[in-house]
Amino acid sequence: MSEIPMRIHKPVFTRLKKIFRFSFLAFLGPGLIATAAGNDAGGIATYSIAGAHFGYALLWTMIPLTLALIIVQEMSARLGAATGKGFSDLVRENFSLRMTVFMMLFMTLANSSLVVSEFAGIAASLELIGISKYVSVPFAAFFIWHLIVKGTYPKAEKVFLVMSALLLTYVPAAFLAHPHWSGVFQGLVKPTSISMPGYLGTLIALIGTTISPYMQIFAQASVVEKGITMADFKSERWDTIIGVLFSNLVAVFIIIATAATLFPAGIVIEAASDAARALSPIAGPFAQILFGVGFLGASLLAAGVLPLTTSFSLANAFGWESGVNRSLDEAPVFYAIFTFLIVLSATIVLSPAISLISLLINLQILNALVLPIELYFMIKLINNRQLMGKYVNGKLYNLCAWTVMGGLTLASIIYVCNVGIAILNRVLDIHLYQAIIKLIFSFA
Amino acid sequence: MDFYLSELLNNAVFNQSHEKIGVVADLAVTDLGQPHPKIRGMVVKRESRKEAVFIPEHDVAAISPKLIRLSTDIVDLHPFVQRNDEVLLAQDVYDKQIVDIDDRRLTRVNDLLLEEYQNFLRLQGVDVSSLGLLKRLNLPNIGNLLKRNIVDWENVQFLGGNSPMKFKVQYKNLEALHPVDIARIIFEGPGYKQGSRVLSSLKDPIAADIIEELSPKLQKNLIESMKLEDVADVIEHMPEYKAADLLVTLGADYAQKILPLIGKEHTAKIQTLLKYPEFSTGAYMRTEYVVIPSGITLDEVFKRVSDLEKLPDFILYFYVLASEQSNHLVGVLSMYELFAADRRTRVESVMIKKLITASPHDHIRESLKKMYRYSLSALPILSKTEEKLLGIVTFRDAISYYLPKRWKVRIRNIFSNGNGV
Repeated sequence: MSEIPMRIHKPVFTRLKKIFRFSFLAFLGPGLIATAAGNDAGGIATYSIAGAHFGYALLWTMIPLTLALIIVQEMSARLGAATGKGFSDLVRENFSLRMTVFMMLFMTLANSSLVVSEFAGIAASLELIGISKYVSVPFAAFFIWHLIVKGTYPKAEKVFLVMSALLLTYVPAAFLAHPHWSGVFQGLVKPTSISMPGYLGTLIALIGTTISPYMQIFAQASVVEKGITMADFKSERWDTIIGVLFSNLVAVFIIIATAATLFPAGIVIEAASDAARALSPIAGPFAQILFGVGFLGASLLAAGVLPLTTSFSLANAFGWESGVNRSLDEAPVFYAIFTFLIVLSATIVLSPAISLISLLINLQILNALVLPIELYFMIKLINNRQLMGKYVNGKLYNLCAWTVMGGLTLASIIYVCNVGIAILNRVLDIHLYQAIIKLIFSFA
Repeated sequence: MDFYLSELLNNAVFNQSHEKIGVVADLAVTDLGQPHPKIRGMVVKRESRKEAVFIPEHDVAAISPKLIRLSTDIVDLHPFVQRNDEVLLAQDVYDKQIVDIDDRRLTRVNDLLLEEYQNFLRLQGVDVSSLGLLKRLNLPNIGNLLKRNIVDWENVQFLGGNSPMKFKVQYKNLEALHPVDIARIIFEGPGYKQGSRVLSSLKDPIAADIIEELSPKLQKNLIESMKLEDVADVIEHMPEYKAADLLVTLGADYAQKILPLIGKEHTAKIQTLLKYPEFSTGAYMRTEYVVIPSGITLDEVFKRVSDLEKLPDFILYFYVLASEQSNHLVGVLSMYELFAADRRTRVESVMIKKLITASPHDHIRESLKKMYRYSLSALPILSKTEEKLLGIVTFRDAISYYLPKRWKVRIRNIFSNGNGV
């Protein structure tokens, strides 16, 4: 048919847009939001602590973590593209009800812990300019709740995104801090294990914040929402990989910047103001402001997305009405869930005895512990031929996926055992402890 | 007596001599499309390491949560294999998505209500409440806060599982809904693979209406997963201007494949529309409207209109042509004049002769401005040189230029909620 009329042939402009999809412009879409939400309050706190307390000693974890994150994120995107469904839908339809409840329980636990950490981030960043958390947190909670209910969140999101983009200044800050580049490279490629208190905990927190379970659910949901199918998955795969590389590169620079400025001075990060000092090479006296605004933007961005994603996941799994375009009468459970999440998180952050920074890092550890559970479900789903057809994992890919899963499980187990022994040590009188061990040995 | 499937599953099954032969693993149904499908039998799991067997309904003497007893001691021990027309309630229906037709919403099967019927059971309804979930998990209903919420199976549209299942799902019940609602419900939830199956099974005019309501991206995904012939049938049922938009969305390659399958007349009209550039008035043109020749009386107009086989969507204005054969527009008769004036008057004396018209190459904004300024519901579109009537553009279609794309149905939108339907 030679006379296919002109309107069908898209103008050159749209074709150009297609070619440049993977370029910088791609980050302006949900890709950037996903990666920015990955580098949220918990992430920045964890990377700062990793750099400030351990110098370049934890830098090596970023290479295996990046590879693992690429594998995991690619699988989530593929699940979304091949089925057109969200993660929780797939879990409900392909596992028993008991397993679904189990999975959703842990997912909700991990996600709510992140909401808490975002509120901790909001509190910490506003404390930099002297606003007490007893003022900032209730106000922020109401503000976010209002944005969600009114459906204006997408607009506000762009503002938060621009604010959090200030954190990109970590990259020049790292260069201006004149780090020992040889030390940096050695730290990157050579796994080092130092027996310092908190080393293992920080490592686990790095895992939890880099590959947080929520990011996979978000990635899958956004693939479904964009209507990407396997036919146009190739470019989506590149989007995923570039997004991961980009966000983890920023993470590496946060570690370098803090390692170069705070570690030599022996500064222990106890408050956000300590972490902010890493930006002083570039911003001088304005470091606190720069850090504060970026930190606040990143926290606000995720503080809205997280409760929403969690409520949608739960509603989909259990067949409740969902969406803010439904009225309160139509979707009571949906409204209840995200309101509860916001109120609960704000309340936890407001409890007086809590150190915001240690809260931030401990919640990342919780995420890391949930991760293997989520991965198990994901690998099972992606290898379900009935569901995925020919898009199941290949043999080699499966090997990689199970290796990631194994590594993460091992790390979690080591950590849990360590904490268990530490608690035992503290609870039991040391002599009693030794007596028990002797007793066991005498039996053996 | 009614009870729930969850109360039956894993209960012991006894034969006539009161010996336990196993536990209930599932119930089988053959036609889910029935208002209340009859249960055909049950799958019984024997002791571990032995294959499950099928017990047909006529071998069952009593069935209730209290007692399940067979009327025979002889059980066919052939291992159970699911037949192509068989649906297993626990395996295939539990936890899957359904549309609640009365409430026009998407939900999930939490439990199934069964009713005694002709010595056995039939499927009565679906429990969509959270209490159903609790009961299946053997959790207590603390303080009796939750209530059951049963939707009669008659008012349920089952959507099926992941992959094309062994059995065929009928989507007849959906046809009771408005196409806009079907578009909203189906494409908010079940994913496009199922969506395309639903579309192919609906009547073509309904499918056409649904596709019109979807966002371009969703249209593309859905149509690419449908059979070419099905798509051609659906396009035949669309107004030309919408079909043209759809072809633009689908791209030139797809258009080349699909156009030969569509009727010649329809294709020609679509192709004419496609010649107009994007956002020109021509691209928004409708070609279905009522024309009347000048010289007839209003009474005759009434008669002509009632004789029309199918009324076009837009009938506020009637377009008066110079004669029966010509395409030369001489005036427009509005509904108002048709009703207000004496029936014996001739069309020419009441019709509007000073016409506000558009050219197909005008920008749609200009045409919209004209309609707004002169309070018109539509403009006739005339060819520049010969003053021939090519089509009309309505206010509703023109204003879609300003509407955000997301007013169309998209897959449930997490991140820009509120505006999306």
